[in-house]
Amino acid sequence: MNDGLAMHPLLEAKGLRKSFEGNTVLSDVDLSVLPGEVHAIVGENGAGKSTLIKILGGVYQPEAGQLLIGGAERRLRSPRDALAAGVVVIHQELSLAPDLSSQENIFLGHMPLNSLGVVDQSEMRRQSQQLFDRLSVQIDPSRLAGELSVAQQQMVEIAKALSFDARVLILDEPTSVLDRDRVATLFQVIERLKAQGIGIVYVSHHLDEIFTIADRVTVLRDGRRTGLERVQAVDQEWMVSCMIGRDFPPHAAHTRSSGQPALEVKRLTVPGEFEDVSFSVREGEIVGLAGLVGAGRSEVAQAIMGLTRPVRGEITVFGRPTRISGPDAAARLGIAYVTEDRKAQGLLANRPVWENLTISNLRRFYSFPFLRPRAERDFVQDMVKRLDIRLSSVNTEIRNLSGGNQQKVLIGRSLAVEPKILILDEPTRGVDIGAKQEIYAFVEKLVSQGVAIILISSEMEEVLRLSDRIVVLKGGQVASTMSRGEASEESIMRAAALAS
Amino acid sequence: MMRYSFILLSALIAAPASVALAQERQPISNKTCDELLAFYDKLPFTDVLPLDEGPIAIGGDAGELTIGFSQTGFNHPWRISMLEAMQAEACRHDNIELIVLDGNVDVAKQNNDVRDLLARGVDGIVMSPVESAGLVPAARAVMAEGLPLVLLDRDVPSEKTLFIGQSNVTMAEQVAKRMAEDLGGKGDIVVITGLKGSSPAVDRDQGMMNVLADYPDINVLVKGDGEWIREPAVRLMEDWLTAHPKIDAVFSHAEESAWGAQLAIARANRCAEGIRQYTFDGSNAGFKSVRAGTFGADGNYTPFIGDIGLRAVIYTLMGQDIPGKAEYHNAGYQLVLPDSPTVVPENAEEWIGRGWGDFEPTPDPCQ
Amino acid sequence: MPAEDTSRATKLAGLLRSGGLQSRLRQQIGVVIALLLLILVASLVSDRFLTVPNLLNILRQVAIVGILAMGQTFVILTAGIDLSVGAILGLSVVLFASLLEGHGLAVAIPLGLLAGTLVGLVNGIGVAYARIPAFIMTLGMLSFARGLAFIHTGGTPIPILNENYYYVGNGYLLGIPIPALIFIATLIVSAIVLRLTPFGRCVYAIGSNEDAARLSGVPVRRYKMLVFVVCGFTAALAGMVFSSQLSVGTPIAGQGYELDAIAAVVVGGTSLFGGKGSVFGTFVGTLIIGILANILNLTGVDPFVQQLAKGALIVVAVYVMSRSNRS
Repeated sequence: MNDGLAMHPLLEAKGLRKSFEGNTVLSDVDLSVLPGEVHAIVGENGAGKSTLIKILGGVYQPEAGQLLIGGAERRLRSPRDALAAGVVVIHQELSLAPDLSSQENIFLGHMPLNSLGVVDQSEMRRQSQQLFDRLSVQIDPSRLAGELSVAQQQMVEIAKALSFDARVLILDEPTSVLDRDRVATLFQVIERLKAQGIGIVYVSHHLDEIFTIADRVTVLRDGRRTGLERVQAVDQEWMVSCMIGRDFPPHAAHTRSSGQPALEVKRLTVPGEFEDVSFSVREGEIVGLAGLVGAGRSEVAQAIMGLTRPVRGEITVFGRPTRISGPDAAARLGIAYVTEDRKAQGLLANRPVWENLTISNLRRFYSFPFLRPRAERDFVQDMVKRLDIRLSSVNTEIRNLSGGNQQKVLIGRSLAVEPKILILDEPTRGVDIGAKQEIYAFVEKLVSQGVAIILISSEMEEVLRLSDRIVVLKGGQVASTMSRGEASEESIMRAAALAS
Repeated sequence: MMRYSFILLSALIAAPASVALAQERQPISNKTCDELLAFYDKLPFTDVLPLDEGPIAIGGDAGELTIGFSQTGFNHPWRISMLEAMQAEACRHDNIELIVLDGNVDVAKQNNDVRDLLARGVDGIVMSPVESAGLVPAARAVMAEGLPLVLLDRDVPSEKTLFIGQSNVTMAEQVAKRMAEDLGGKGDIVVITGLKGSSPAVDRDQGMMNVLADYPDINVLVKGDGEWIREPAVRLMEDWLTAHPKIDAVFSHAEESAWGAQLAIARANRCAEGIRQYTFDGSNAGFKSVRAGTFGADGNYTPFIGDIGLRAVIYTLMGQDIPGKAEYHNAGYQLVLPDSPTVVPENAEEWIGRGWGDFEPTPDPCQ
Repeated sequence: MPAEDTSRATKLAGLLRSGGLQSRLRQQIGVVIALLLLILVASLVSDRFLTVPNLLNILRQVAIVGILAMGQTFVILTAGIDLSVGAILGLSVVLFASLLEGHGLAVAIPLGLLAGTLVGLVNGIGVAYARIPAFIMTLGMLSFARGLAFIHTGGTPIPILNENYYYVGNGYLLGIPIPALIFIATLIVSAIVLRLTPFGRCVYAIGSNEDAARLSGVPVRRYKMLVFVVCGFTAALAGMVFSSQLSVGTPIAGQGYELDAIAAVVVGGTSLFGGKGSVFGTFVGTLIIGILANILNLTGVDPFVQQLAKGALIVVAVYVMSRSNRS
């Protein structure tokens, strides 16, 4: 590889723009990747990192901007196009076929054939071994992918990428699935790939990793590039400020008068998900659970709802230690949960809005032997009014509503159990600005009526605006608990993303 | 909505239309009247209730007559041969229209079919019941309408105009007797029955047991359900050949099952033991297998009684007495057909061509 | 402000009042139109079709599969499937027959119905608690229950001589065949249960989104079990009609009926993915299939062509319905 060529970027993106249903998620973003370079991309949840990766990987087509690969403009209409251009994405969730051998996984779709047109096993094995040698890893190419450790599977994915003659390798949160000591191995492999002139795009939440492995870093915020620097030239402060970008005016001190403790969680542990998590929430108080994706926030909520069994720890509801066997039991204790995953766990998509509202507490609308349509109707009418749900008819299937109205219906559903403790998990995800403000106002109204609220959110602004106290989780453990006065976007980011 | 309507409408019209196009050929058998008339002369029982060719006049009126035929099902060539004999008779009379319904071997379906025939306003019904007891209500409904009801092959224990059938019991006795003689009165046999619970299977088994009562040295090793067809018989026989070092004969209720058993014998390399086959059905192919020595005997259970059934309905409509009808243990009357002799190597040659079906037997893998 | 509130309130009340019945009708209008059209065509093709005896005849004919399909609707609404209904029918048929022999109606009917219900309970426990996929569990039960029926009878049909029982399947009440009355009663009870009880509401919720239902506190497992219990009961009820109509307890009764029942449910507009459909739709679906068979019989269409027409009807109906649902 001569010096002249090394000057040219392997991949160059100029002025990329992408929007979904009117929401601009990426605008005017540039990115260049040089041979033998590790280029890190950082940003908060929703900053546009995954959209950018999907454009580079051929999954999305940008609305504006161009992609140059090896100096020539290319349009990537599909992941297949991207592969052909030498751009390979390795996703956070590994996607090997567990019942095929490593070598078959590597050559899936382009297996070497012998003269009879049959897969040439020995050739495949030989080439696989070569690829593993390039990475200096010890994996038997004939072992089934399902028998390999996660770290080994990641190596198979990388070898697979190399088998496509990858020039640019995009690693999306590669360390999120790895133990700490495996991370070092991964970094060694990355160094080796660098030496072979491959360009690497490295996406991570963990700022400390960036300083170990990356050469340059691009910071995204709200779909725009807010920083591009050589890593050596900057520090964490700079990155965090680029990621946050704005100074929030200190929130007016709340005059909420919280009451007695409603829910207390002590040393709660679900193996593999979170460990020794303790916090409490009082009547008329909002406690924010902050942290990065995968920090264990939703898992804590599910344990409280009795969806998973904690092996250790204690849940106390209004002073009484309890074991919660499931959502039904939780409802009887006055605990309700609004899921983060509206589509998979929330909506009865093809049922009318009114059924979606009353399903959580049919007991309330029932007197033997039949449901009371009038009582249901009154409740539905009340909720539509209180939450200002906009619809043509309550008989509309809920899937026809906008995200914001769907979310309001799910909040209304949780109110059917007349909760004293309400867990809101990403209550404004995929909701437009207007509905967001309405939901905030409604949540504040609930609190003022004495409901205890646990707010799980990846949106800093939301957590800071609503919470009285904030519990930051990192890697399944409480990293920090701060009062409203102590909390700032920066302090939360530090606690959530930096190595302790 | 409109499109839905159109598609349904066209589906409905297309079905009857496709039949109209095939008017030349008779349903199910797919034969023309010319072909069927040529075949009429070979039928074994045209001398029972004879009837001249030409339109049927009832009280001097030669108007259209519609006769319904509710068949057990058309899943077996034997059943189609029965229909062909009837269609051949219908072809001889211009003013007879035959409506054929397929019971799909389902009691409830056939029960519904018979009621549909009544709703359609047929002049008489021929039925070959799926099952004796289950068709009693249907038979009652026909008799309540005052229509002639002729039952073929299987009886129904209730009032009827006429039942025409052959006895599976006596036929099985003939076959079993031949087997016992061939074995010299002793040996080990296996039995592959027809579909378990069906009345011919019960009767054929009964006939065999009647005979074996006189031969204490013939030992029934095992019985299994061959479902009248080949594939289960192969599996049964394979397993039995593994389990039993010595088998002298196979008594199977259907030719198909016998051929299946023979395949299993060959596959197990046990042709040399000379395991004998005794079976039923009376197809031309079966007779050829008897001639070839594969079968020791073939119970001659002819399907060519369909024409008699139709003639019996016409006789009744014309007010003619049915010669040879007799009261019997069930309500109504029975017409006893002359016994067809069991086909054995000695008479196989003369019977080939007078059985049913025009297919060739499975070549004997042991020969 | 108060003025605005009141106007909004009246608007809301209007929304709530107008919607219910209308939207329910709109969902089913397609299948109803198809039925009316079929009746129209049938009466044009055969002048025998639109006669009272023939229509009553059809109602009696479809009763067995129709009753099966009612229970099947419950299961399919939860996105499950019950392949064992034909076999449960067969088992109950032989039990009715043998119980009638020694004990008479008052013992035979409750015990026969109970037996089918218990088989359904086993299905339900397997699916809901042991988490065996419904397809597998009921496929196994299909064979198991059929085997029991054969063992119970030794393969030989048991004749039923009880005249009162014969009347259940063949008699008339107020001029309507009793099987048809049983069918319609099953329909009404099923519709009330689905529409007006928490169980019914939860059946829809589970079929629509099982995880969401669980998270909403719906006792998902109990109700998933219960739909199979309902289905087992209706299968036994259909078995009662079968055995009384035909006066025989035959172990092969109902072979393949599971598919007929599923076809009726699907033609009636119930989604195999759950959460969408109704027993009224199933009722109409049953009639459509039954009338098609009747009219093809009346016009003397080749029986082989009849099977073809039935198959085409099922596929076309479901295709058209999925299209109209999308638009």
